[in-house]
Amino acid sequence: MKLFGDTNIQFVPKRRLFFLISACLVAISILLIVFKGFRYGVDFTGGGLVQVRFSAPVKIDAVRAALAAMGEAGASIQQTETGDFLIRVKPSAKSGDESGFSSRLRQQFAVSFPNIPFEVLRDEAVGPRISKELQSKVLIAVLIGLIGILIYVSFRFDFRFGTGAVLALIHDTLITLGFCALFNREITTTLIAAILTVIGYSVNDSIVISDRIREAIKKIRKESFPEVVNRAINDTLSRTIVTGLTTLFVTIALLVLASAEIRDFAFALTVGIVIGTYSSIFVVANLVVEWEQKFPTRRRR
Amino acid sequence: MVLVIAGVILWPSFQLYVLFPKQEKALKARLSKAATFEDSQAVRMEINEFNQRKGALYEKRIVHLGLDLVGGMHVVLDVDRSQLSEEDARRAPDLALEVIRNRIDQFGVFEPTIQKTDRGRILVQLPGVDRERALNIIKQPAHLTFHLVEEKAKVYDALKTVDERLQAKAGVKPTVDSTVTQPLDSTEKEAAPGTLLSFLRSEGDELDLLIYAKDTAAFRTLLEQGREFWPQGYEFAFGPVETVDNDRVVRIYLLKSEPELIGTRLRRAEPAIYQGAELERANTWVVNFELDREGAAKFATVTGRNVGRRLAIVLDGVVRSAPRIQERIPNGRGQITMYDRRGDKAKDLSIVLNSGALPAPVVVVEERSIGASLGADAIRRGLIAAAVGALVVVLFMLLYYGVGGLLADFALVVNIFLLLAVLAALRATLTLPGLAGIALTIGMAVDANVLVFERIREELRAGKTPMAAVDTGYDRALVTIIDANATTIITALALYFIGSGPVRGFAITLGVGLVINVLTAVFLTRFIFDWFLAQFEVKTLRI
Repeated sequence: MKLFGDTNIQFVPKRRLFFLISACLVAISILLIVFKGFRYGVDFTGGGLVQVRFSAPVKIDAVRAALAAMGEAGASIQQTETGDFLIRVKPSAKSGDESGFSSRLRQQFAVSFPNIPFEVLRDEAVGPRISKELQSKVLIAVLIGLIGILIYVSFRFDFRFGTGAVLALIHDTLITLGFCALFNREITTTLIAAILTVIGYSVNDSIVISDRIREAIKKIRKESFPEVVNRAINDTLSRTIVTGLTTLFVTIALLVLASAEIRDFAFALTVGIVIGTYSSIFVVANLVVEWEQKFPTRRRR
Repeated sequence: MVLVIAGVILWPSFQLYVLFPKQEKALKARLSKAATFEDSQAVRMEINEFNQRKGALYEKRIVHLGLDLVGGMHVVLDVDRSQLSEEDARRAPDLALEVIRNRIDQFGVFEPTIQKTDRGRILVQLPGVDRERALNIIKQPAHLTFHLVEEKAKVYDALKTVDERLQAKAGVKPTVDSTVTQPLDSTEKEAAPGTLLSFLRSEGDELDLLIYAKDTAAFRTLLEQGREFWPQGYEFAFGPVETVDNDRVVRIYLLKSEPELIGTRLRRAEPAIYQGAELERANTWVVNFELDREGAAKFATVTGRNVGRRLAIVLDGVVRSAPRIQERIPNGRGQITMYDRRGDKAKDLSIVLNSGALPAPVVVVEERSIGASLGADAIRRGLIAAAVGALVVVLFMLLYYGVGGLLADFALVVNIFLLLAVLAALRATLTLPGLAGIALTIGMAVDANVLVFERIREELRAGKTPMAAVDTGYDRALVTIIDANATTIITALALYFIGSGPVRGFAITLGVGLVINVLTAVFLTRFIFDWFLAQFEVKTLRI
């Protein structure tokens, strides 16, 4: 079976249109990130998160009352689709011990709901100092990942492709983050890991196409540079889409079927791979063409 | 060959996660069905033996499951070194680690992780434990001291003095939270409201003054305000909450500040059933302890010199009991009473006492604990998602590339198998994101083969023979395959070195998965392809 036989879609001549689309997407994403902002997880804000499951339905007001009774009226309560309660509190100000909230909550709930057994499914607590450390750790991980990729790309490819790949990567990351802000996904260390994976994937796609362009430049000399690039995109189109699809099958399966803790992660991956595939077909090589026309390099003979 | 080695490596993991749960279930079923005592003893023996075999497996190279999949407690502790000298502060984390390890060992947990992390913090991971009990065992300072106790009348006088001085100092009545309810049946009419004395429950008992448990906080605050007026060389202390005539009350003690004895080194402590005369304590558990030789000698002197007085056993600032010394106690034996009917508190306290005191208080600065059912849910749904994703990929490849797809699918299965084997060999921990990482590798695994197949298709279109097309296809695709995977592997490396716990699990599966991908795509499928073409002298190849 073949979805894409000998395609000859005019990607390059229409590049301005794709640039416009991408620019819009990036601009909207930046606006979303700046004005709507992210919902940060406990990892980054510090504080506590307790997930409680009751054996019988309990009204959210009753939970709120129980929390108020233990002096935690400021806690935020959220009910999941499975009926669990997610209760978040700010970091404990004085004692420095972050395990206390959950212990007190268990005692209080046992008193407030004497006839409804409950189970604490999850306890997360991050002290203020730890959350600061986590933030800097994550920042370092992202920087090291980016620098590593940049070094590799500049080592293996010339400046033009390197720049194109990096611009595409920024494009993909921003749009993925924009979607995360739009759909109110929680920013955790795991989500950042997904974003880094998207970056790796995005560069991976760019590389396959630029490999092809390099090869074509060596082989075909009678065609103009834009024509060569257009051919390369068409030649790799099948591969780009097949790989994107197989990866998407898996991330979508995770998104739909896996448990809630991994859903934000799968969401970022799914969006990132769609955008990454789009950018490697429509944006990366076109950037190189644009660059080439502004600053022509002499072809080697 | 490689596959055989992988199989051998994976065998213990397979035993642990596939065979053992079934056997365990069977054994438990037999235990519940066992009719006679002898039968159930026999099954218990088998279970013991089984648990030993299970424990032995953990020593081998296996894939460990992360706490987010099996459920359990993950806490990072900070040792509060603010009260220690420089020398002690330096040693405190190691000492605390040792004490905590001792306690956990005695508590009995499969596969605990207890290690020092950066900045002198201690990481404790305990799969499948009761959080509250485990926290109690870890965090309890376990400072055991013995103090002489003043008589009831003297305590009353001391409180009165503090009240008077406080009032004199303020010029008016000392302020106290007005919402605090006063005991209604108070006969201490002379006590003005808002004074320490006003909190006292009218009928103490023959030994001690009592306050209502609910007033403890207010009473303590007021008492602290008057700390400068406490009798020289003495300290107030409280007992645990107990029930007297259906009221929840707390005893007030006045202790000599200087302890008669510090029970840092106990010879042993063990839980036992209370044997004494107090009816309320019948059928409760207590902890019997025995001081070491040095301690016992001192204990004998102290008790000999103070016959008739009361000696308080103080654990972490709470007076557990204050028995009257009847005679000199030569053997250094004592008892800590507690209203514990189930025995687990007594057991835990014995563990804590046996392991010694913590050098300084520890606080939980980070916690990520997962309930067992959430972990089970995560692993079940994660596996389903990965399986469905893999199945769709496999079917798609079959449809799209025909025979080639079959080959790629075969490579995929080998990939997963090898990946698990490498994880086992590295004793890696599989977390929920790690599971997602495996799923992701499945999606990306076919990429290398896709690259090759697309190349072969092109070469075929260009009119080459199948043999030549396959050769050039592989040669040309090789560079691209390596280039393309390199960047994602770099990402995985960055995540591995910086990330912690779950993220690291993801980095491992993704990184190892991709390396294996490249290897199987380049060596395995090519080998099979060549063999297939040569064997059947294929004239036309359709992929």
